[in-house]
Amino acid sequence: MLQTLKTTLLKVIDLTALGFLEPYVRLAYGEEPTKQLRKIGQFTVVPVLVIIAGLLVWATMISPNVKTKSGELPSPTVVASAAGSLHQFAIREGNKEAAYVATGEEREAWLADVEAELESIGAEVESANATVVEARKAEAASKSERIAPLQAKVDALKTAMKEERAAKQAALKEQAASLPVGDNPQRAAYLGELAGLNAWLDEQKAEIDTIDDQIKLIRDEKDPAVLAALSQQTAVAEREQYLKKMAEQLGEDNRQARVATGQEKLDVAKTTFFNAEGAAAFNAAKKVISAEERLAKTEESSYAKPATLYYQIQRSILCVFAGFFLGSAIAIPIGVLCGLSTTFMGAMTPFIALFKPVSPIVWLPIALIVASALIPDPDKHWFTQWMWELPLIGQYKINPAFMASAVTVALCSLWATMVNTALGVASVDKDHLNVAKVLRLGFWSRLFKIVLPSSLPLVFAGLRISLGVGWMVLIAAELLSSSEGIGKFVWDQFNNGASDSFAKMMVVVFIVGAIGLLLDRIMVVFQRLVSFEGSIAAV
Amino acid sequence: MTDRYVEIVNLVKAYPNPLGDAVRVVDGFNLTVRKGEVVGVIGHSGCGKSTVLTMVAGLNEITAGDVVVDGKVTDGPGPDRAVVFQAPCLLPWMTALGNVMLGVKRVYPHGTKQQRKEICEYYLSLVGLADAMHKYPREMSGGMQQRVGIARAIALRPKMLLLDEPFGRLDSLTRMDLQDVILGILDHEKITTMVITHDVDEAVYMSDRICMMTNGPRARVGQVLEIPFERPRNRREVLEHELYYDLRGCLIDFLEKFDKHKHPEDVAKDAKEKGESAVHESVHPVVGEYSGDTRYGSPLTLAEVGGGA
Repeated sequence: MLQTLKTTLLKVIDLTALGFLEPYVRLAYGEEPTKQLRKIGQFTVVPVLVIIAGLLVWATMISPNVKTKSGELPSPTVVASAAGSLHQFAIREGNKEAAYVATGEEREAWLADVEAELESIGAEVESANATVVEARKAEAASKSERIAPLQAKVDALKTAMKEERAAKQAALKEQAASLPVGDNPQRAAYLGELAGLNAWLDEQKAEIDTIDDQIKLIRDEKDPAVLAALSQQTAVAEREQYLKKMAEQLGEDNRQARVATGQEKLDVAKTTFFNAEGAAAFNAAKKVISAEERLAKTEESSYAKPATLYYQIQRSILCVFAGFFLGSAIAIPIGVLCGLSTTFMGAMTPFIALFKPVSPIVWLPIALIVASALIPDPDKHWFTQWMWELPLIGQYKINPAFMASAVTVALCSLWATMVNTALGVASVDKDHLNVAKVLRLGFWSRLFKIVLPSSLPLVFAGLRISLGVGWMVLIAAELLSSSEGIGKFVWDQFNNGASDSFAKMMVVVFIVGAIGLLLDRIMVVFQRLVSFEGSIAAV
Repeated sequence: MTDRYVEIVNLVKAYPNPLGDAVRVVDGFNLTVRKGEVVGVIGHSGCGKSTVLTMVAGLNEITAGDVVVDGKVTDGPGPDRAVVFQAPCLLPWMTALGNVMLGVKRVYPHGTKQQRKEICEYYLSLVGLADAMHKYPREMSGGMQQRVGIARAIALRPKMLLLDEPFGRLDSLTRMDLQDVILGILDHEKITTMVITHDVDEAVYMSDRICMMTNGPRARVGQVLEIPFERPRNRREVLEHELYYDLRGCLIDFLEKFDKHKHPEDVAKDAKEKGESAVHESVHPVVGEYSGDTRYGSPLTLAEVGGGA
């Protein structure tokens, strides 16, 4: 029993290419402990140490030294806190959405909780504000203490310079009055004296500027205490804002509450209509109808939730798979035909050679124009409407920008699959084809029983490359097409320019990398499942 | 009809040579096989044995000549001539059963799924794989894989079974096992068989007649040797038979005369100079010459064998 568990575990590890886990399993079964420990050191401890070293280099050497107009390169801790705040934002928006549709006792209990919190947060806000004020005061005091002697020095230098300049200029003027006409050497000496005076003045100014710069540096210094107080203040303010909004969503803005008001209005309108006479009855009837319509809309409404990072990630993954499947659906049949027939291959080669190197940046505008021409108004077009009604993917609101991004992904990623499929089909083992010949298998039978199974490993190797390329292309495509997704998130942050935008973009770097890794792992598993020889594909 | 069940008439394989005349690898190969007979083809490596077999199988284009099986001139490959290759050539993405089933589906298109499965299982158990039907090729040893290859060929119920050095890649113990497996099946099913080998003992043990090929290029049938042992055969009895070493010696003599590095013309010349009778008239590498007797080449009698040894 335990032994079969061990073999299963080892098989799974082998299949998923997570070889670094293998020594742990073997160690747990007491198999050659020293050897396993050495492997753990090699494949777990060393990589972890390298990661830590990388983080240290980033925190101590890179981020403090890279300074830009939008602030310095965020350190690992700043990036981590940005990731935390993105997560918090997603959770709060989820809560607001739930609060809007909450009903009955649940809603009342929730509202009571929120209001209680809101009351208690008042004190927190005040204390946070007070801390900021105090921190600023302390900062100002310490700065002015440090600046005062420097300022005094500057002032003294300035007065001394002014006095000396006035004295020297007066002397030169006097000298000018008694300058004899025709004595050129003496006049030349006079010019030299005047130039000397100017040089001396420049020197003095430079000295004053250096001290001024020092003062400026001190003024610009950011006191960590103030920064901490400010971020604390922002966090508390954001929380207060959130609680207020929650109170509204649970209170007067709640759907149930709005439905009740709408109902009341409708009742009033109806009463007016029943009692109205003559021409007034017409207007009253119109009011009843519009009140009914408004009520129906309110009943179906939902909270207009802004796009959270998680939503963007989901939409990006959906988009990359849409493009990937589209591309594969084109690439595999063409690749098979290319592999089967050298004539077809010859016919396709110019197309493949010509379009393969085209960059996504070129495909995207073309795809965007075509998609928007096909679907000018996604709110009315039957295709988008039908897509929005679909159960799982309806919520992602597929629009022309999404389609253009998916098509771009398909156009850029299909080449690897196409070329690999053609290669796989063309290089089926001759012995296997002889078997087909001896059995006189028909075309389809030969294709599905021999050619395709034998080329599957290469096809999947191509698919794996395609998905990787597609993921890279997608982020760029979303960024340019403003299709809701990770790429658009980066673009929004870039344009937003808030103090934490830089850090949020860095968070995205890691998310994109992690998802790319995950997609690649999934493809590795598929690749291994179809590799009939049980051979290990390159990782 | 049963005496001339398979006729190979003046078979020629020529490859184009841009610098001169086409290279005739096989030139005027004649052989007639009785129904149910096992004919061994022996010769030095590279002499064109496999070329002849692949041409008979239809996998290699025939330059000139005909292959007639059961009264019909063959055209291209077909399931009436099943081949067991030197490498097992199993499809690695199918189990043993699936590999056999692939052919069975072709040959029994009207059978039910159950019937076809029973046929596959029968032949797999015939080669001793009753327990390994659902294994994939990668889970089987070379010998087991070759057994599947044999089952796949025989399950087609072919008119002719073509064995292309089927044991060439196996160790000698497995080889002996499989020789007995095939002989057992042949005794049972009476399939006309052509087996290519370069192993003298294997040829003597398995064949009813052995066809010795001259060296290529322009290879052809040099001599044909009858093996008079009764079937079913028993290895020990065959080995202890008084004629065994004579037959074996005759084969080795022939092969030595056609040592790889000697051209047939030189051999004939040597023989003439020594005043001996020529090896055999069909050894003469004259293009287009036709020995006349398509049935047996020119068979050696037992007396000649005894005398020659």
